[in-house]
Amino acid sequence: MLKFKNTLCTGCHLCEMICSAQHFEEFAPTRARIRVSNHPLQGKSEVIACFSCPKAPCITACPQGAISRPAPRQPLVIDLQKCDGCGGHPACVPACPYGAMCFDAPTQKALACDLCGGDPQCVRFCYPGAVTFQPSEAAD
Amino acid sequence: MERKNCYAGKVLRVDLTSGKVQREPLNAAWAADFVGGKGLGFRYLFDVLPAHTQPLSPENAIVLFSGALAGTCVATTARTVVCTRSPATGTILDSYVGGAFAWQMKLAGYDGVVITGKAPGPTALLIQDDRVELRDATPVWGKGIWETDSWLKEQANDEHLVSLAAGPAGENGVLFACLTSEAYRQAGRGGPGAVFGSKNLKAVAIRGTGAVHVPDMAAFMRLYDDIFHNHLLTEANTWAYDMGTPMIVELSQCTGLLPTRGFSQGVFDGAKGINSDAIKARKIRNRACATCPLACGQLVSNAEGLMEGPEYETLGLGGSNCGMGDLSAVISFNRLCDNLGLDSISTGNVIGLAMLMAQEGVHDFGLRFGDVEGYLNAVEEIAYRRGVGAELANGARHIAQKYGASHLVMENKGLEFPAYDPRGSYGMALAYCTSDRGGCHMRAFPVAEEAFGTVNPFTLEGKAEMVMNGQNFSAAKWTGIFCDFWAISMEDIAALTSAGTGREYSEQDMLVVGERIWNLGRIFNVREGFRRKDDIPPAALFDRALPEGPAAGKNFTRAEYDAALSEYYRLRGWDEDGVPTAKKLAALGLEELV
Repeated sequence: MLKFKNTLCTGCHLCEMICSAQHFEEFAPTRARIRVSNHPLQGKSEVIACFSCPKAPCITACPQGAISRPAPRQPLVIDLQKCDGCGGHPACVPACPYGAMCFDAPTQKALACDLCGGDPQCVRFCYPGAVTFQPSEAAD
Repeated sequence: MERKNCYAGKVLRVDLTSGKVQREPLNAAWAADFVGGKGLGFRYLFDVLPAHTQPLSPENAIVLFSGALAGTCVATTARTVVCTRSPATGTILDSYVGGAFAWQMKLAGYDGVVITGKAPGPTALLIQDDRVELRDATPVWGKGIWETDSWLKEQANDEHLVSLAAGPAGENGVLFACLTSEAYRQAGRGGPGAVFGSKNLKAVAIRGTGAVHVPDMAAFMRLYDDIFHNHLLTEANTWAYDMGTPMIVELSQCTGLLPTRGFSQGVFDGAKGINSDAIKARKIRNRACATCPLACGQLVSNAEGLMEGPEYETLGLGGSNCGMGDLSAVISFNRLCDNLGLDSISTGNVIGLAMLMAQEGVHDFGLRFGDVEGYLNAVEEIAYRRGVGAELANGARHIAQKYGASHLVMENKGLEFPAYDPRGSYGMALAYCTSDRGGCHMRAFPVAEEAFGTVNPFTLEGKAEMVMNGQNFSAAKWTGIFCDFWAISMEDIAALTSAGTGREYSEQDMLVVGERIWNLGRIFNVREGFRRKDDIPPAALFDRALPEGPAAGKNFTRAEYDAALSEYYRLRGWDEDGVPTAKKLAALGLEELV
């Protein structure tokens, strides 16, 4: 899964840009599955995406049963047929204790990191190493 | 309908006098000829500004423009250009700021914002996608920029809002007042903060939630993946991440051109206190502009707090030039400049001059080399135009003329010299004095090939062509707006610009765009009376040699400089007085603008 180290995050938002380009073929940070919270004056940033946490409260929070995962520590699967965006107030988003569940306004669907099918592109472009990838076999 | 290129396709016009807001399509013909950034900023400014407009009058305009590639993933392109007529020089001004402003501008759906008029009272321009409003900024008028930025984020209830704000220095019309964004990044030079202040404009803040498109995303990402990994993350660029600009302190020190004690020396005995090792000892982490992996910002702290920087220019002008070898003092100086809205280059140059004037018995402003308290106090006094600040706020040229220090001053056209003493790298004299905005090192940078490279630094021969090529290259590069810290090739600039805009540009096409932009700047300046007489260095470069170090005893003569300037004009296709010829303007498609 993805690993995050905020002390190395420079606040460049490149991960968001790469993510939206990969999934939506446009540069739209608000549509990214990875999010950077930036605090320039304090000189710090936080980066987060879904890392398929052990409890995954989003799964039980979803009233439509649209969220599942094939195995623990595997990326979430969101059934876009079932996900109805909860009418614009998705239950999964506040249920996530990490702020890692995203909501895509244009499609009104929930979004979570899918590891780009196993080769996460944000990692490929994160030079400072704030976002790294640990294949699930090696996950602790 | 999906856009087919990287432009937002829209320009916002805001008249502060009437409060009227208009949206118009981006001028497609101008976009083809001037591409973006500096090019479109100049073109829109030239269009909106009548000749002989006083810089601090309501009639002056502020043009904020993004580069063509802003809002894409391409590194360094989140930079913003601020174009206006400079109150410091009277020339055209393009001042650049990193951070994330243009990135948000593009995501909000605008390529540029053209601001005219004067607001009736303190005002902030707040742009959130389609929503554009003028807010009463009375609560933050007189306040520092950091507090202003926090206030704006609260007003908009959005932590992602990015502002570009003037400080007290801008409000008080300090001629070298800057704009600050993202706390520690500045559109530093030429006084754009004073233009904001003269319009009662405290800040422009922007937030976009839209998207930027390219004609073929898969092709664009294939191209960028290659450039990113093979041309960007190389040793030619990653010094910016590892050390940042402070590493230039050592380069300038060992080549004898580090401005020291009012430019009276080129080697600083306290350089160890302000060099990159000193920065590294305080470094907390790297900080970046939007989309840039180079993250050149070196976050450091002193007892007062945090900051990104100080950059080389601040270490040079606010450090060695003021006889200040205490990094903590320079950090305090830098924090004051950033928050009060002062260009740290001009501020350090002016204070260093005042210190030298006292030492030389010319005039005593009460400032002494190495006196930390007096130096930090002077920064505040300048921002509020009180005490010695009332005079120093008018810049080095003014002080030199009024108090008889023309033999000591280091400026061109009223813009104070940055931190490369031309007596240690002669090409810099030509670069500073033919720069479109006065004494600036960013347009052409011959020192990289001269003192820091292998070309003889102590001759002006061959430098005219070097300077001209550098200026054209930079102007083309700043259509992006690519940063100087990325040594990107014109081949890559052309490829990325083509892939983003959907128009094919060759390397040669881009260089012609650069030349066109440079000539447009010259037309503007010629219209305002600038000629050969204004492209001459200050007397000290001819008459006062540096006393020690590698450049000791080195001077070029007035005749040598004149010959180089004539060669520069000839290569440019300008007449002997520095006026572009009709033939040159026709070749660049600019003939209708004169």
